[in-house]
Amino acid sequence: MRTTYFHILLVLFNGRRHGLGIADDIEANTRGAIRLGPGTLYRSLKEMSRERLVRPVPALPNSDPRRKFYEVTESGRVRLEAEARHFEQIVQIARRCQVLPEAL
Amino acid sequence: MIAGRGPEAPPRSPPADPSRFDEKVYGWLLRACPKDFRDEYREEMLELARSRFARARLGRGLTRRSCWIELLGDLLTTAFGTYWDRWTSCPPTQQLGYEKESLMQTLIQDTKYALRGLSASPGFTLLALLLIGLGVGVNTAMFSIVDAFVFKPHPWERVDEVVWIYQDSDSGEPSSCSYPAFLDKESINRFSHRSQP
Repeated sequence: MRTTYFHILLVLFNGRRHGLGIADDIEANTRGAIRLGPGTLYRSLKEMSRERLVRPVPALPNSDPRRKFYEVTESGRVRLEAEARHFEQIVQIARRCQVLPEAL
Repeated sequence: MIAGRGPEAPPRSPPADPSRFDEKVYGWLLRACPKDFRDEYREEMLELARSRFARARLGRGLTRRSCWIELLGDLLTTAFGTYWDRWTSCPPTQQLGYEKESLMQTLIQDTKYALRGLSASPGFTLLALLLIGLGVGVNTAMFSIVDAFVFKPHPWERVDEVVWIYQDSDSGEPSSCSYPAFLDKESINRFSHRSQP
């Protein structure tokens, strides 16, 4: 899974968001390490919609009706959890090899 | 004498908002993307770009220059990526008719397809042409310099014996030497060599 997809799914895991909200949340989650450009974000969302990882949903009440909101699909949740478990295993291996310190 | 005030200067218009200008330029550059992608996401992409320009204006972790570098890189990647996705998502028989058509027919068909695609996105075409021109120009200049300084041999033999000849000017300062003056010096030099025992 692409890193961009992973971060988008992480943001959408806790609820629907619009494009600008997704970009801002990813930047905040990664403490500024990943700042998605508009093209990368919307191209990824288009691809992810085609792969049925996310889907567009109606805008929230009291929000700008021009904004498109997205939410993660069941298939997207499954893929995200699988990917997170994969990363968890890698971190555990890195700890056993003392690449990373033991978790407290 | 009472000093009178001159004609009043016309009211100055408020300074143009640079982020508004940036947004307009970015909106125009979005033409590099395919039309259907642009139609679907233009407003939202503009909103995100507007938010970045506003942050740059307020100095929140971005400068206007870094903002533009990021946005241009993102736009180029997106434009090429979406065209590439479209091309690779076509069935192989639609991409190249290896089985049914001759190579020349395929080439003509591809050329027509490319020209139609380019004419449909004039902004993308202009940007691509500018980048190609810049790339070719820089490459040619670099090759010329490297070729002249590194690869080509010197145009004369025994480089360590090459000297620069000066002659005194009227004021006694060293000055450049004309070819007739050089011939004069050469004949004198020959004469002096012959006259030596």
